[in-house]
Amino acid sequence: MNRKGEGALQDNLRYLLALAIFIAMIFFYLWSKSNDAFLWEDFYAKEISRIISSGHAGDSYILDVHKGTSIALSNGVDIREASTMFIFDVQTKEVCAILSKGNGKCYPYLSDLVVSDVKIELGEPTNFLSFTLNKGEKDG
Amino acid sequence: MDKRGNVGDYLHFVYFIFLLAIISVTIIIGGFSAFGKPYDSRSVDAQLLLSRVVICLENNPGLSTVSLQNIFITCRFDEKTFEKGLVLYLYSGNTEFFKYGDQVSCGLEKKNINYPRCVAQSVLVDVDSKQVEVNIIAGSNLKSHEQNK
Repeated sequence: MNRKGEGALQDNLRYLLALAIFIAMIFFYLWSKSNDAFLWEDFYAKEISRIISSGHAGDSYILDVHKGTSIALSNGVDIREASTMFIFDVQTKEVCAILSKGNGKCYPYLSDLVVSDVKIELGEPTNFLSFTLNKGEKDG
Repeated sequence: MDKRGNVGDYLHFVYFIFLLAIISVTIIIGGFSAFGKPYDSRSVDAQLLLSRVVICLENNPGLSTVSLQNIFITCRFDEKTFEKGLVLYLYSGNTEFFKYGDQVSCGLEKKNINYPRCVAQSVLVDVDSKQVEVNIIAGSNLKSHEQNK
């Protein structure tokens, strides 16, 4: 009787072990996909570019960038300085989001506004990116 | 008897692993379709460009054919940004006021994902002191690029 019971337990353990490995692998896969720096760099660059393109001189924005900062932190990017994560290039009229070392995605914006006062505010419960839009050189 | 039983057990386990493999493939395909494609904002960019042109035309009194032909100056657009993949076409009937990029590709956007996403609108504006219906086609094929390229 005991041997029979042990055999059944061993059988079930084999199935349970395979299932546990399977679930762990799937969770790891989905977690790594959702924390994909490549995807989020693209997202932030395009969303911020859209904000600048539709904004007006004098507008100030505060954006929740918590997801971006947590990805950047896990990739060893210094998140205390806004300029290491988000670059606003006046010459090329592009926004760059950098969430992993040595990489980053840039996207152009349509207006000739200049972005100033770029700051990252780290706090609870979320981290924010703030910036102000000012008139460009062409506006005098 | 024992050996036969073991074979049955192993077949059961192989079948179980096979089921897990099918579920994994399904989840991986789902993951790719949700996270694999880049975030496409070209339709919104085209709409933004169109609304900026409409606002510019409506807020610019005393428009002339020449000022429409020089829309980069009239509306303070940056040609460098247009070079990255924007389309803009302004016309009225057979009169072509301004053309940048290939507006013909706008009609093919459903056939190929690589063609620009476009939007169109008509506005009534005074051009050379006459009220003219100006048709605007705005499109975007802007793409994000690596920071150092």
